[in-house]
Amino acid sequence: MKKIFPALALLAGLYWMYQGAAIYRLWANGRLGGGFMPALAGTAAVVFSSATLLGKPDGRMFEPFRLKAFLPVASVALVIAASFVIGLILSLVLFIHLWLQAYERYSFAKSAITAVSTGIVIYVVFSSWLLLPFPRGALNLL
Amino acid sequence: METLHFLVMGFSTALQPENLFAAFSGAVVGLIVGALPGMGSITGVALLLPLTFKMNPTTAIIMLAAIYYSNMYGGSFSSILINIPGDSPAVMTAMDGYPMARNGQAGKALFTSSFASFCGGTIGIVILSFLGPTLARWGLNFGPPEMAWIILFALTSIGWIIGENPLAGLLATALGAMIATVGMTPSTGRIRFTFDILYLMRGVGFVPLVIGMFGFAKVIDMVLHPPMTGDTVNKAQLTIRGSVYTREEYKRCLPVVGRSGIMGTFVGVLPGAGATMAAFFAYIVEKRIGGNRDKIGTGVLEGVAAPEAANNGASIGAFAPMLALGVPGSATTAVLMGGLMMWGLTPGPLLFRDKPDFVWSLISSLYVGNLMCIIVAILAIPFLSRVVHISSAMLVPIISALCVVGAFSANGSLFDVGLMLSVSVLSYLMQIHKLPTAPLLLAYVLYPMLERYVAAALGMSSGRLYIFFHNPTCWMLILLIIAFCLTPVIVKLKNKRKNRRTSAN
Repeated sequence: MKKIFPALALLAGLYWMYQGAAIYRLWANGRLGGGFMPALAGTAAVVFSSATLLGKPDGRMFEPFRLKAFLPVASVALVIAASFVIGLILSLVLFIHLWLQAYERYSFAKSAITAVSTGIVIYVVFSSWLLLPFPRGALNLL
Repeated sequence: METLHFLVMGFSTALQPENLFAAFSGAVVGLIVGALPGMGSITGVALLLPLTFKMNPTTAIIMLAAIYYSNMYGGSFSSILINIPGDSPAVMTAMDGYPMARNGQAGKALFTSSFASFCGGTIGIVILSFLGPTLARWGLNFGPPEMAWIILFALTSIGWIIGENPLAGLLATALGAMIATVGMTPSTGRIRFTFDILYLMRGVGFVPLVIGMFGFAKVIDMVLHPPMTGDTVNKAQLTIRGSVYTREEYKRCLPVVGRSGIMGTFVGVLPGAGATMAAFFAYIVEKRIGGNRDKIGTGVLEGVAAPEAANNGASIGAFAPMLALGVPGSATTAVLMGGLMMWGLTPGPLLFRDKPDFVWSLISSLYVGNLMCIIVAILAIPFLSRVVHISSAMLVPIISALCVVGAFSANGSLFDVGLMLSVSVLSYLMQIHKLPTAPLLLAYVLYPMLERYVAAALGMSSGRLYIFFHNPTCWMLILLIIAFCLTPVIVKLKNKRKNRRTSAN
């Protein structure tokens, strides 16, 4: 587990090196090729990740991986999915309300007030003032 | 004389109502965000960046700059009141600020932090006003090869300086450079590393990257480690009248703020060093040479004044290399620099020559904004205990919503929201492996510039490498890079030898 990230960085570095040198070219028509800088970055990643992998394990360096970290990520992924149906702003309002009620155990009224007031601020600032074309989902059909 | 003329010109723009309002609202928002435990200036600037999309570049950067340095004011509030630093530069402030609050001097500690922040910031702005144009004039003599070495110098110093493990910093720098190569090649226009995803043709977006790495990553962190609430300070201590200094206290603090502000500003100018290091240095210096050195750490004014003056000086000092050379001095100035590039402005020596109205309006607005910050900070003293106790439980979904809207607002695309989520996962993985994220961002901003300068230099010499070694400036920069890379290794070896000798004895 402790070596996964440096190992992934090593693989990505090797991929960048190969693509840079073989596909995008280091040098082309007497000029710097599009692959020179990616290959350089890839080489740096390979060198430093190898040094990390080969270096003495350092107990201080790692924190345990926790699945709980993906809870907000998964929730926002659901918000994106829901935005195709009920639009982005409504999805966000629903997300805030459900998060506060289900996860933080807030009362219905408190979470609803927080969610609706955040939704209003987002609508006023981003939709009315900055004129952002938020996805409206199926509501667009109404 | 020329500087004063430009400053007067800058003030005429900075004092326009919309710019005054931008500085004021930036000061208020920055102060609140800074006071929230665990939130940093970079999170604040990243979250509020989308709000500036509709503003003109001058007003936008005035607001973002105000958020940045008022965050330094706000960061100390939770350090003092509940012993939880609002931001890493405020860590040293807690050493004396919190004991002062426990001794019934919370108001005095808060006033000291605001007063020292104001003085440190002002010293930084005065130095910036004179150092900035000098640096830019020096930078005007640089061609693409020298600029390439300067950027390489910034990249290597970032990796070594940030974090306890230099190797981790360098690996993060390499990852940032790799991310920066996605999309169109700046020199030839060729598309690369898009994995057939149309949205990646313009590269990994700056806004989703910054929000994911510093905004949504903060949400994940708050879910995993909810900020603890410390002891509540008696609200009766928090009155403005009870907080203001006596003449004796001014006499004690002024020399401390003076030397710490100057030192902080010069530490801030170094790429990668930043406000945290400045605060740490100032505190250590005060503990070594200060008049009240024996009592530092027990809750004295000097222990709060030194780090606060230094971190505000450093936050302003970091503007000098950003504006004059196009090299950000800290992660937050890298975000500001990315913002400037989004608005079509290229930071660097030519900015002072070609856009003096913009540069001097920004510098003048720093004077105005700094004054606003101290007024707002002192007036806020009676309300601070409420701000620092805002529940993180409520902040998690609200910040998440702002991250979604902010990432979406860059291009009006849900792909950017997905990208922001992916970056936040990368940031979490980096966090658990103790890899610092700031070098990644700095490399992401600097690497395309390095590519442009390397391509231009090689174009000048018809592809021959001698161009990178053709004058003494190049050699001086090469020596600096070597010195920066070798210093930590030498220090480590020296420490090892010292430890061995101690254990043998």
